[in-house]
Amino acid sequence: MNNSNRPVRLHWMEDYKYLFKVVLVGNAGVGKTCLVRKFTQGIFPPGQSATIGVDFMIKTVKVGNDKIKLQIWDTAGQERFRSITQSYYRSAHAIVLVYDVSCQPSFDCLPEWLGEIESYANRRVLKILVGNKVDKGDEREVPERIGTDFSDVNHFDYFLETSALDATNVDQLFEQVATRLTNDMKVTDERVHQYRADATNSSANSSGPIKLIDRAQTQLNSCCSSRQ
Amino acid sequence: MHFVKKVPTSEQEKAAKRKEHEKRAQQFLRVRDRIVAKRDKGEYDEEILSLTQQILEKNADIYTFWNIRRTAIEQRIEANRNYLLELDVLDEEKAKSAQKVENLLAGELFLSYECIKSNPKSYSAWYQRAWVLQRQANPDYVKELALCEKALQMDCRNFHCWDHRRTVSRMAKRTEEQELEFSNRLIEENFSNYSAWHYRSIALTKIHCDEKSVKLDDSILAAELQKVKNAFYMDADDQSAWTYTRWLLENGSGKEFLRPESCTPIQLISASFHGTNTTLVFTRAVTVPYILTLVDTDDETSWRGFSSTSPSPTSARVWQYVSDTPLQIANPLETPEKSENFAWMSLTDTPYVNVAKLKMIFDVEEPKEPAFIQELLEDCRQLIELEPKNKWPLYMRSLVLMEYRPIRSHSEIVDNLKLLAESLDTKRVELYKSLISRQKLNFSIREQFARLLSHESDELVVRYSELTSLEGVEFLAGLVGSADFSGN
Amino acid sequence: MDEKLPESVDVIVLGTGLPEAVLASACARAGLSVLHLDRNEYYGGEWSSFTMSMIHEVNQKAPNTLTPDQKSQITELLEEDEQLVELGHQKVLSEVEMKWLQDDVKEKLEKESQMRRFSIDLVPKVLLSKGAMVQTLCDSQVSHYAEFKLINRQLCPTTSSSDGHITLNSVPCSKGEIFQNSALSILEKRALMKFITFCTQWRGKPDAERRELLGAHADRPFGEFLKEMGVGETLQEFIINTIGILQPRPTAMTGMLASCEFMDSVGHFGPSPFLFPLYGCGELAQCFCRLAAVFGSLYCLGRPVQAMIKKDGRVIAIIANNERINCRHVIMSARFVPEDVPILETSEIERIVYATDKSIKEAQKEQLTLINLASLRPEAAISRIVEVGFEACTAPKGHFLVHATGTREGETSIEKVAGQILAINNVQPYWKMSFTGKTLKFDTTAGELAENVILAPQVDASLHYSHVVEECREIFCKNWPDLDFLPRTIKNDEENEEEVEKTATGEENQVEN
Repeated sequence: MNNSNRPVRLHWMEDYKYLFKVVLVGNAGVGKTCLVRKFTQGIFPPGQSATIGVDFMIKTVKVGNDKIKLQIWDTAGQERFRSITQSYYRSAHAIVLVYDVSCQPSFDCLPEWLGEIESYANRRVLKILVGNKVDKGDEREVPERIGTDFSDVNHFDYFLETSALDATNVDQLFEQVATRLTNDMKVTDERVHQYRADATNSSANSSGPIKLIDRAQTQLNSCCSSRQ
Repeated sequence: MHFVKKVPTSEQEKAAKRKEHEKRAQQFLRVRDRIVAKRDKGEYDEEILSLTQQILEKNADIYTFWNIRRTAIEQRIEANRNYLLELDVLDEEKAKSAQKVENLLAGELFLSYECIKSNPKSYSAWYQRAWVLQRQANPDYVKELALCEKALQMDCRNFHCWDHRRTVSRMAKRTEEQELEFSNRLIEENFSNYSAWHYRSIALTKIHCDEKSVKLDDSILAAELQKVKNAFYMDADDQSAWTYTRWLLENGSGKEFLRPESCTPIQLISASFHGTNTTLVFTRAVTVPYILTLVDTDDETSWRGFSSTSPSPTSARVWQYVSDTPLQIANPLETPEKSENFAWMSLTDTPYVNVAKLKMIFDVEEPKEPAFIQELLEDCRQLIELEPKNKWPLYMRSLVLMEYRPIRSHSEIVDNLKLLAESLDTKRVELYKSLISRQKLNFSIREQFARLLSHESDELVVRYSELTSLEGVEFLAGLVGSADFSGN
Repeated sequence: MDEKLPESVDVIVLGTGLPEAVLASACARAGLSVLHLDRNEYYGGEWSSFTMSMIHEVNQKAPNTLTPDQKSQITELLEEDEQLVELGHQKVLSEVEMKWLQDDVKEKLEKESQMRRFSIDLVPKVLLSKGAMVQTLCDSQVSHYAEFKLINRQLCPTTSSSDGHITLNSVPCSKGEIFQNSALSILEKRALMKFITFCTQWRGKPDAERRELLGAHADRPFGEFLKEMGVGETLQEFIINTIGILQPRPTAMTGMLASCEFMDSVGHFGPSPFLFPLYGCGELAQCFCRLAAVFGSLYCLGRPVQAMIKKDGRVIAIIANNERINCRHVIMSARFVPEDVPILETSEIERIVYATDKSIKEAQKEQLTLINLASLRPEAAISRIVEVGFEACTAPKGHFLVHATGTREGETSIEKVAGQILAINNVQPYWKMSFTGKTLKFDTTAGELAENVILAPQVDASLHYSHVVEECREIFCKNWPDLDFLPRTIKNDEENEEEVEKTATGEENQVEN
């Protein structure tokens, strides 16, 4: 096989430094799934089918010299009837609240979403406001200024407008998420319990939470049978 | 490609596997050839790193490829070193270059980690880690030790991992106390961990023993016995617990036979003149040059050594200097040095006999019995009752009795050893027979000891005692002129 | 901006309690279209967990009886030969009482906004490491949605014969814990190890031989068999208490089986066989609901169902929000069983929850604790305490929730016994809640319940989730014999990640020089 035609897979840097859970919320149809797909797969799925079969997607980005894994969760359609579970918000490091700039009602519902975030999410969660579908120039109903104001008044950490269709600001959105989370994490220097490289557990009996999948794969061999 | 969760069918799985396998085999050969070609040309570039990585991920034991990687990385380290010395380069650039090297090394650790995950006993993968740690600017020893601990949890006898751990401990300058705590952790999790007990014994020795004291003191022995007791009670067949107990006893023992000969310090047992020769007896085999430091002659030639293993040994416990004149020996209580201020002892009239040592060798007196020994004897007795067919507690009890109660418990000792030889541990029948022999020999010698010491007679009589060897008799060489060993 | 509910689905599920959620996810996963409704604005029903600010919701359950007006409105939706069936309001949760015992603590918690850090479970159970729930979570990958902590401490109450004083002793569950335990004597440790070895060997034997090995003791109390094996009395009680948490009132046979189950699970994730969900047991129902949603199930909270429409002995639709939704099957919580279905038996579960600022038994590091109280309340089959706190994310730092569960039998209440336990370390709770859970056994043969209405398993007093999962599996397989119940999935996200990585790496990392 001739390796010179394919991108050469280089020596890896150290295994990812942090893994962050990012959840997307917002009304049905604002384009949450499209944003995620565009970012992780580079595609914009045609059709307006409701999200079926999408759980979470993982993408690794570089922040400085570190590899950061973003675990991006989708609502699985539970926002359609305001029925997102509390556990969806659990342990989220960042929440991206999305509205559709060409759909005023989706903006009007934002306070309700904020209420949910207030109730269920971690107090220190990173909050990002996104106005999606900026490609629909003429049909725009929510001016950018309004979005900025709302973001300021409600103490969002970041606001930007995106288009999953033409990729405007899609990468920037997630890169911002990754960068801010990484910097925050470095400040506290707290190793997230989802750090995959188990080798970092300095005590053999780690008291961190148990993730069933990982442990199920680890076979604790009974060693040194007492019979020689 | 969809994110809908799918369920595999077994047909699909099988077919896919087969195809995959063939593909991989072909790929391997092509890649390997390319690597070798590049190496021969000296092309230690990104490509060779990438290719070797691909292969090592699946086959961690290809030492050559690790070697290639080391060469490649060394080249880059060297290049970086030179770069850093250049004058007209911005600090920023230098920092970047140094960082690149660090990334390279970190990547190497990650690669080796992946290899170890699937092949925890790959020597090359472990070795690479140590190699990297030596070159990193800020090696993370904590993480490395945690990795070792985890690997040992999976397989407590992985000696590659133990070796690596020892290396890292040294690099990290960990104290022996920390290592002791580590061994403790492993043992508490699973006391059947032979390697952990062994590691513990090494740590204890390093902490508590030096040139002055080669023994562990009583309080430590007592504490350790308390701990290991849990293990042999919970599982009386667990070899590691009994082995550790034995090591503890050896460490606390003054007696020669429980301790391997190398631990015994050299002492002179007796020095006597017998008209035509001077006989010297030592606790350990010594050489002529050593003896010459103790005696008032420089003559190397007139020495005769006596050893059971060879007719003219260079090293022996018993030596004779053939001469009509008695030798003078250095006063054994002082450090043997030939100087003028130094006192010579004459053997013309009275021989020198280290009675205390002889008594110890032949169990003429029972040593003081610390409380923890009493406890150990009782524990063994209890276990013997609970498990009459188990050789371990019986053997341990017998060893301890031989050490501390050789006179009082002589018959029990012999009975126990016979039971072991005949039914409980027939594989080691020779060992037990020799122990019985020694025990009986000592018994017999004790009876004649006073007589021999006072030179009433110089005949040693040991008849019908099931002796299998005369090991030990040579210590009496200075006192015994003739012996009767009939019926053995 | 609410969307419209569909006109028809394969399965409608009423109530989002854990069993309903498991069944909904099984249906959705198998490809059935599912609409899952709950009249509450929260998930979990009587299996739910609440923050301290929301716990009052447990009380406010206004039964939705139809007014004549509403009834006539709905009747218009009916077609020929269709009958209206009103949903029942079975009292599965009753006598709910809660109160603050120390107001200053309440004020402090409110001031520091700590009220939402509580997660008070109505049904606190544990997961057996090698049990059906863990298996199902892993198979379905619902395990991604939740995390767990080990119940790292099991305590055994011993009553002193002289003064009736109760002490709590740690139960060592693994070889290592036995080794380190300072309360057991050397001989007791040995006897325990021998017992463990015996269990391991016994387990490997075929059924018939197993029974034989127990001899005449097979169906007699476990203690007798242990005595025969030479296990001393203290240790006997100890083993029975430990195993008894899995199998109340064990015989030799059931006791040995429980012992094997126990030991099998020890060491799988850690030195204890039991797991507890982080954030409380209420999480599990939500997790299964999410799985159902991922596979297309529609979720609608705050949507009470007004009635069902029956035709030819089957329910063919439900009515919610004056809209008719057709369906082929209905799965419902026992709470909604129509009033005219006769009840054969009721069993009651007594529940008490305390909020405290001190653990039942102090330890260096905070523990999740399980205590079998059967020995203090021998007339009842089940009595236990679970204590969880900050480590399980169910209380603010330094605070604990003490859950007592007991079957209502005999003279002594679980409350009395719980009080005794708290008294040991002089724990003064600052908040208390009590309620009664009822398990109803319905007579489904009478024909009042339509044949395609499936009753979800109910809350019971068992310690762990295996029964619930197995029952759900049975129910699912009975109704849909051609479909698989939550089959194993292959890892899809890791695969996708790798592919994604390849392209990403290719773009990002061009050959550096």
